[in-house]
Amino acid sequence: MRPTRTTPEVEQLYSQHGPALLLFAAAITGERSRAQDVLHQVFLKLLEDQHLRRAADVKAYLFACVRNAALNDARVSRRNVALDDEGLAWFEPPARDFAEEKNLRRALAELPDDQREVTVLHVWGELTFAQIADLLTISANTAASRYRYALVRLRESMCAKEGSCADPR
Amino acid sequence: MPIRDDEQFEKYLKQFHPVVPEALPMKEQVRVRRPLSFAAWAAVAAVLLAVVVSVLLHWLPHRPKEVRTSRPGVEELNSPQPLTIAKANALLGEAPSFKAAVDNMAFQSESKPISEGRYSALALLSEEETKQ
Repeated sequence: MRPTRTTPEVEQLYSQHGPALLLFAAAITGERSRAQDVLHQVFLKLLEDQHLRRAADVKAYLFACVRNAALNDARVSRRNVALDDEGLAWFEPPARDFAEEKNLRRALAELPDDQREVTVLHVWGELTFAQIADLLTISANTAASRYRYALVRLRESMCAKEGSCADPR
Repeated sequence: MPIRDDEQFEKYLKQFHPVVPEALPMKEQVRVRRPLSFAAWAAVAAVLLAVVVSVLLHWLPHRPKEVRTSRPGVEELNSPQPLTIAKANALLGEAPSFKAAVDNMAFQSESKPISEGRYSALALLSEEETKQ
């Protein structure tokens, strides 16, 4: 009988990367509750399989697993994130500014899928463009390019309103 | 003052921390789902199969197997049954000569007794007077 030897290891990975993975899944599914289901599904599968041990880059592998699971979700056929303003928050905003949190969610939802994925992976997943390129099977230059376009659009969208998007300095 | 610099805007975005996911419901599921491995299931299946087979062997009636130990004898072949190739082979094998075997085969039918009130054609012809 195979022992449940990976349990502490997987628990550690879940607590370490869970928030970013949940955000990434939400960025694909459009809903935090569905993203949560996807995340649980992925980690429970990891507990049963030995695949994690064979992954060279565990963090990138986790993001790839979450991406596949979210895209395979039968309910995600349209791929357009329909953001519900009343939906669960994706972020803990600074100074508990939930209006700004909603502002960020809306701005992310307005991005094209490929730009949103790259943005979440780079900013909150803290993956390099090389890792993102491997994950999305694109070139690192394409990943960087998508990120730059996304930042411009996000800034335009978020900072359009007076008083929002304050300089963190 | 809106942020113009990409790096500063990235810092601003990082101030938003993704929410912590719900706890992983793995303790119950993992331990309940894997109490028995495949080997254990295979062992249970093998034991059940052995029990079923032994019960069947014990309770089913034993039918003695008819074993033919030798080829059919001439006596057996003389029974009023149709002549088959197997019988003919047996007769040829056991008869002292080919003629004897053929005779035996030819006169098998005569061994059948004729029922009462019926006559054989040969017998009737032999009794009839031949016209001169």
